[in-house]
Amino acid sequence: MPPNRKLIQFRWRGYALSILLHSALVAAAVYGWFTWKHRAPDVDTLAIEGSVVDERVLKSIAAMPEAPPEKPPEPEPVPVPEPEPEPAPVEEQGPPAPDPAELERKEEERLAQEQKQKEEAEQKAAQELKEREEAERVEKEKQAAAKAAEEKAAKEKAAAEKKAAEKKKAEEAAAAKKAAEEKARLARQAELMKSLEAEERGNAARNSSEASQWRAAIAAKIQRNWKTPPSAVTGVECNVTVTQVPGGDVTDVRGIKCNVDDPVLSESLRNAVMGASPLPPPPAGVPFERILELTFKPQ
Amino acid sequence: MKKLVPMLLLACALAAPASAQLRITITSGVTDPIDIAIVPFARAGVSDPLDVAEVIQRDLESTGRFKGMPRSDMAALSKPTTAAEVVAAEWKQLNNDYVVVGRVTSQTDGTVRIDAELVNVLTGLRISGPYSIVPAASIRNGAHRVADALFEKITGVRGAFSTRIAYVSVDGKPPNQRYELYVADSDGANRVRILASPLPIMSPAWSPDGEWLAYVSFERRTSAIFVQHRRTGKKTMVSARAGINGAPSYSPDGKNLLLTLSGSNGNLDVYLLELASNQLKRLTDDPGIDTEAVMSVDGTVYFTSDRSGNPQIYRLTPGSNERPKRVTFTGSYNARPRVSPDGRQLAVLTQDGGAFRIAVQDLATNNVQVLSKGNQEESPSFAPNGTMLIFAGRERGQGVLQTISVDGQISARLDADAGEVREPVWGPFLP
Repeated sequence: MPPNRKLIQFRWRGYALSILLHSALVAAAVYGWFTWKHRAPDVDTLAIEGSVVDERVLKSIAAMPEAPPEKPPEPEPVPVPEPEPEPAPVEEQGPPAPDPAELERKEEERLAQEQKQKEEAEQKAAQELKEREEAERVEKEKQAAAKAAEEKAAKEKAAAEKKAAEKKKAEEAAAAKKAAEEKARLARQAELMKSLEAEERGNAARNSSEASQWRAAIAAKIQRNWKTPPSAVTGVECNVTVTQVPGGDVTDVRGIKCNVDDPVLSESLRNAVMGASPLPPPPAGVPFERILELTFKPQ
Repeated sequence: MKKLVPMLLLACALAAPASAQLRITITSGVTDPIDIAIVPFARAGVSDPLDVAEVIQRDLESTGRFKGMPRSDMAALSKPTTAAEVVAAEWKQLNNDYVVVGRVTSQTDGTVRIDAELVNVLTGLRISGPYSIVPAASIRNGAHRVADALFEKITGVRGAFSTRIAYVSVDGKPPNQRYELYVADSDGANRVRILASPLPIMSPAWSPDGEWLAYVSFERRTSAIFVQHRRTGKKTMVSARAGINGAPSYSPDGKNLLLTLSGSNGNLDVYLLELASNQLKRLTDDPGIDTEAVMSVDGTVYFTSDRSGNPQIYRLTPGSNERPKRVTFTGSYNARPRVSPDGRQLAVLTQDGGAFRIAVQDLATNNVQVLSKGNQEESPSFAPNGTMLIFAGRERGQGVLQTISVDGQISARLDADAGEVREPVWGPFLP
């Protein structure tokens, strides 16, 4: 073969390679733009993991007893499209001289370039794998945290519900207690009112003119029987509690308290009351009083 | 507010029981005598026929504070001699407040023991005692001592029945008169003459310990003041100064003698004579008559003076430069002051509607109460317990001894068994 022909053959081969390379670059650029433009939102990607299963295997599995459910498959990392290898810069030149050394060098460069691209792709893939694993770890942690938060929230909710229930129960008990107390208070009040009314009736009877006459009659009889000792002078005051029974008989004279210590005076008071026994009876309508509180105040 | 109403209701309810009792105030009593039955005492081996129960009853009745049950009313009753035998209801039914029972028993040593028991028939309270042990010849005095104790148990005031009185008795008609100074029991019994003279004896006065008597005697033809021991008869002349020596009375501590001296000019004034040193101190210096001085327990001297024109009572404080102050303003005549043992009352001889009577003036309020009802009375003197006064009254123109309670309720005539009785003076408590 003549040298021109061989040269032309090399030149076409170079053209072809150049065109192929540029096409590849353009295609890579378009793909990259398209990918960037239609990038999926940063959401958790649901990946579908698929496996090539042999039908025979399926049949054998169908024949096996039912296995426990497997753990749900871990989500697959999002496949990242491998970048196209950067096309080697192509010099615009005329048909090179077919130089075998050059060609070999170029071939080596190309191979080196490919090797480089391959390594870069592998590195990128490794990086992406790492990032994916990191993302997975973060996601797991996030899920674990979410789960923990959810459990915590559930616990708190349960506690709050329990507390609320207890509070409600306590409130109900307090309300019941209060109601019982109010009832008792009302009962007491009613009882007091009742005794007060009775007291009022008694007071009315005691304050009547008939009662006053009775008191005066008792006082007069005791007075007639009080033979005052020399020590019974103005300023002396004694209190005596007298018990009488219906009929006026005095059964007890006690609690003699004077503002002076004078046994003779005390005995004179006792004698006055006992000497006046039986005391005058109450007039009709005036309640009988068993206990008399006497005050001796000589003037 | 919601809580306030029940609280108020509760307060009312708590207060209710107190108001449910009948309250009565008694502002006065009566001065009625205490009814007492003194049952004749049992006797054992006693030869003296003295009715001890009767002596006690008369003592108690003389104060006006007791009314003894007549013996005739006891006829139908049993005669208990111990408190255990007294049926209280039986005696109460006869309006008695107290019953006294007792026994007079001769003892192996020749003395006589008098036991008494007091039963309060109103309350049923029985009080053992009192008792008295006396020589067989002094049963009467023993009875007085038992009466003293009974009086104190019932009234709270110490009895003065066992004390003595002194008085002057004048017998005969001038110029053959006989003057005697007697000491007797407070009821006039058991009189003992300690001095006799054909010449006047005047103004006897007891020493605070009851051992001495001071008096004015004219046995030296002029007035002189003597002090004489009651039991030994030993006498000492303490003042025979020129002029009149009169109206002696002891100070409460017995160390001084108040007396009236006229000096040579005849102007009567009050002096204080210290008995131990015979030192004389003039207490009044007034142209009027100042006499009849007596000293109160607080040291105040009361005396009679006519410096205002009529006899009135004045007071002064020895050692003070203050002028004597008039004390009596009721009536135109108040003389012969005697101060009560507690220093709160003054007994005087007062002119009351033309009569001379015994009156008592409260020194705090100056209220005057005329006690006696005679026409010609004189010389009041307080009993040492202040409950009674002794004075000289007149009956059928003759001086007699009389006692009267300080409230004027009870007056009694004492049997002096003598002629004209003058100037009685009540002695102090005896140990």
